[in-house]
Amino acid sequence: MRVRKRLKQTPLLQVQNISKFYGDLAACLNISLDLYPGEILAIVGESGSGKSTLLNCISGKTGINAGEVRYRSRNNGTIDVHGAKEPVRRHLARTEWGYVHQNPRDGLRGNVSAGANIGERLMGTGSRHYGEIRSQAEQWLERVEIDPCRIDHQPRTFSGGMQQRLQIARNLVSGPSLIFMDEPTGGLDVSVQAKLLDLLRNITADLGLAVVLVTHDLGVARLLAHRIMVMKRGQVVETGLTDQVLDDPHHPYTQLLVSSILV
Amino acid sequence: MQRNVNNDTEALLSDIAKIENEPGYNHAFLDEQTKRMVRRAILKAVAIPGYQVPFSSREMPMPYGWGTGGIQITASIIGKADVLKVIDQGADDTTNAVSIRGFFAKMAGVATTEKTSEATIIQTRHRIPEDKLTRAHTMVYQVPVPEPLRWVEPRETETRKMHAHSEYGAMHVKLYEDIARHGRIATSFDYPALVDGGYIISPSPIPKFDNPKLDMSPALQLFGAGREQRIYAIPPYTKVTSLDFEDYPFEVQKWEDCCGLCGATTSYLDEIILNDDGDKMFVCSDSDYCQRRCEAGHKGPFADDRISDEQGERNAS
Amino acid sequence: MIKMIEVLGLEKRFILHNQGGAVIDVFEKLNFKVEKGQCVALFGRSGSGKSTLLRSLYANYKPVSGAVNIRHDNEMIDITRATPRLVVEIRKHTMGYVSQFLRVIPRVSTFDIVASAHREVYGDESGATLRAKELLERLNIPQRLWSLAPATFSGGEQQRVNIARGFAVKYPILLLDEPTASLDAANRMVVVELIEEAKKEGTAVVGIFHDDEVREAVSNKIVEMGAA
Repeated sequence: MRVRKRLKQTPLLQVQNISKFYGDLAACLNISLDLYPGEILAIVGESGSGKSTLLNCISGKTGINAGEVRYRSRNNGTIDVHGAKEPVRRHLARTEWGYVHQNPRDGLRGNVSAGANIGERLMGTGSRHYGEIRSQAEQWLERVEIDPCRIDHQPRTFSGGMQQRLQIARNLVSGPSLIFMDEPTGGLDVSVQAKLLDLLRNITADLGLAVVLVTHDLGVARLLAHRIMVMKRGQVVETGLTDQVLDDPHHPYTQLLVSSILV
Repeated sequence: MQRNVNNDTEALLSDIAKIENEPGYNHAFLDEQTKRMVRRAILKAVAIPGYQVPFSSREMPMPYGWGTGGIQITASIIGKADVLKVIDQGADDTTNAVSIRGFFAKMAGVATTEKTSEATIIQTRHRIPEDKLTRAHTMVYQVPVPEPLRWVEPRETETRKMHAHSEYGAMHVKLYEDIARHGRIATSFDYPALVDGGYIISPSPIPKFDNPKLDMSPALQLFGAGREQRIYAIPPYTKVTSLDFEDYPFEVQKWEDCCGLCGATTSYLDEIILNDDGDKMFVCSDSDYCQRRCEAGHKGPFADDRISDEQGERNAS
Repeated sequence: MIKMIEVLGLEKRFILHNQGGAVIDVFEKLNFKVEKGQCVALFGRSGSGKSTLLRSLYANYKPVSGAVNIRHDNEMIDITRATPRLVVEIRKHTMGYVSQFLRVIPRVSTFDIVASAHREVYGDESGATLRAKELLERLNIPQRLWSLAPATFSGGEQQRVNIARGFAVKYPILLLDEPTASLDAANRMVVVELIEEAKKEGTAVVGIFHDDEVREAVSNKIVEMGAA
């Protein structure tokens, strides 16, 4: 019964028929999805398919032309992401949400130490005790496998993989429920990528994070995501369980994608 | 009552008639439309304490960074009856202070002074006078960089939103970084402060020693940034809080020495190197305050030395 | 008897759009059921669709028509029509699957692979450690390999790690795709024992067994494939 009860939960995020046009071009057309707590959804497709635009529309970074995005917040009921005032959206973005950019430089402050990068969200929500902020930063560094003795070093002295892990820590420190990730393993070496994937998989499972993950790498989607959405020219052509879509693709485009993977 | 006022006004007018400003120039250099524009910005700034009001800053006959913002504010508010004091690094006798005083004496035909108690407008760079300010004073601060968030966020579009939504976490990032690097909040001037629980401001490059003087000051305090085209204000009797951490509370500078000339122990001191051997003394940065204490008979350890003679000559000239 | 799996009129066909729209009919009108504690063996020549059927039961493949009813939380649920979330729940708590090949995240140690399978379902650290130890020992994985990632292991070792992971959780339903294919006789017998133990505990098993001996030892019923 425990299982059934959990399934009756309302979704954390509901996207209903959203569209985004650039002139006549539909970057996203009539896209709907539900995301539940703890669920990881991968949006895959080749460059230009509209997956990053969709991520920005869902996270409220970009305006939409039609449809609705609703987020069930912890304390403030359900929020209409695009209808809400900007401060509400920005508050969500730095408390209950996270956003992991492909390039860590877009998601980190380069001129302050790793500790300050992690501590910023805490200070932004009223934390005013240096000692506590610092000890939390240390814990998160450890959590993302960065030696806490590097707490006072600037991120630019870190390797690409470390920067990406720091970016993740910076997002997670506020205890978010939903994380948006745009090609999080994009610019990394294969070995570094594997380590990061492993970390992401453990952390998302441990914290019960819901994730919307944009990637062009079907391998990343297979490892991390419960569900997958395949996009082509702004439209969703196939969606379902990750292994189902990748092992038994029905749409011609998905079949092409899957058959194009080396290995 | 009525008669008295009239008498005062008449006396005033006859005084004003005696002082002429430079022929061919409008009173206080700026044309009346420009002053009107600046005054409107000042009024808005006073109405929204701490908010940076954009204004269309004019070219002034001096380079940016020399106080063009402060000058435009002073020029817009100064009347013939005002008495102007200008300080730079606390001193009334530095080049910048002397020139600006001279500029207004000429262009507005106003009386100038070095005494805080006599002044009605005090234009300043780097300091707030040691003497208690009163309701009769208007402080005009010269501001190089009005945006306290600039250091953490270079985008103006973003900093404006951060102000609008009171997203001030990044401001503490700067203080955090200070403690992480130096073991304490090492920021010693331009120390960020929260005005009336609303906006965070840069108090201009005054030492944090002067930050407490911003709080609940009876004087109107106006801040002008000429190059950055911003004016902001702290109205009289407004709460101004310096940012800090619970475990690293805000503290002002302290000195073990007293002023070498007047022996003051509670004023802001400048360090002066005396010779090539590295001997040094400390003196009040507020030259007016120091001189009056000396005149009143207060003596510091160096009061009778060569330095004090020089100081005397300097004051005499 | 309690029905655990019920297959009704199941039909599967692949359409290969990028290969001239070629159509491959795999099976049609399949009907069978599996009861609690029973082991059903899928039997047929190579290419007769045994693996495709097993994957369809696991909702890894999407049948064209028909139903696969799975007993989950005492309710029969058609997994071919279940939402992805429900399928994930069914796979977590009700139905395990041991594939032919080990597919794991690089870098994770052999011991962790097995223990985490147990931990994720029961959330019990010491229980997970115990179960992982027991299975790895019984399947004769030398202890010196436990801390290593299985990527460099031999085919037989990898398969045994895979089996250990599959049996780490006591699922009510277990699907086995040629679990003994590359094992020696001694290890085959261990797998037979494991299957027998699971059946005694009430697990319904569906398997493809290449090895006649193993198939005869464990199966109660045979579903013949590709007979048509």
